[in-house]
Amino acid sequence: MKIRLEESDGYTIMQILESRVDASNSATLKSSLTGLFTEGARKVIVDLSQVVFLDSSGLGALISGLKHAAISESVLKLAGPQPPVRQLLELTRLSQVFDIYPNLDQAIASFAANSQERPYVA
Amino acid sequence: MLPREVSVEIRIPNQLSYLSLVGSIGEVLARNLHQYEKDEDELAYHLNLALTEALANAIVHGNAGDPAKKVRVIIEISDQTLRVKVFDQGQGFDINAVLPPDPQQLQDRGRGIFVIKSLMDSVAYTQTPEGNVLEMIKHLKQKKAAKV
Repeated sequence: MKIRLEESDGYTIMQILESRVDASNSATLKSSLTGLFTEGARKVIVDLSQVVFLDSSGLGALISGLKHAAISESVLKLAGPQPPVRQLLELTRLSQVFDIYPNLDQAIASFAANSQERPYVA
Repeated sequence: MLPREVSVEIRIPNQLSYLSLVGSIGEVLARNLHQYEKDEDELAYHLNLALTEALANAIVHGNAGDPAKKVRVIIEISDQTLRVKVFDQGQGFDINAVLPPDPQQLQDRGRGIFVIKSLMDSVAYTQTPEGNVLEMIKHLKQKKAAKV
């Protein structure tokens, strides 16, 4: 799985450079997300804008990331899900669990907006 | 466009790298169904997703990742119905015992069967002399599309 990581101003953007995330490659996404939080990332945005197909194992990888974020008192946000991916998040009611933004800019802006409200514990 | 009745049989090694290929075959078939009365693009995506979930289930759980085993897929299209059968060579499971996921529980796994049931009109998992088969049906005509 091709993933691009970009660190900027206290947050990390994980851009998934694949159109399809399924059980053949979702383990890489899962381990990459886990690794980010293990290495101390506090604010992570997963950019899903290039993903047009995501299956339940891809959802599982994102959930695993969300759980690791919670354990390390960090934040995981999703940005730019395409309509089919958004539909799956809603079907599984995970749209209620994830912090989802229509695009990367809005996800980044949300960190600035919330910076006074969320005390990130080191 | 396809003829109104088509049957396609696919046999693949027990490897997850084949998910995309089989899902794509289902997607192309669905996109060319002239008898479907609703959105073919949506049906194509749903069939790709249902096939992907069913195949992954057969490879990982049904066949327990055994590289010596095979997965067989049959896609049958008739005037009224799209029927997909995914065969595995494992121990089988009770599909009715698979509960809908609780979003608050945040389990990493266990949503595949729920997704399939949500996208298709009927789903059954049975044991046959040819192996276990997950059978998924989508009604192509609105008047026949009564949900079970």
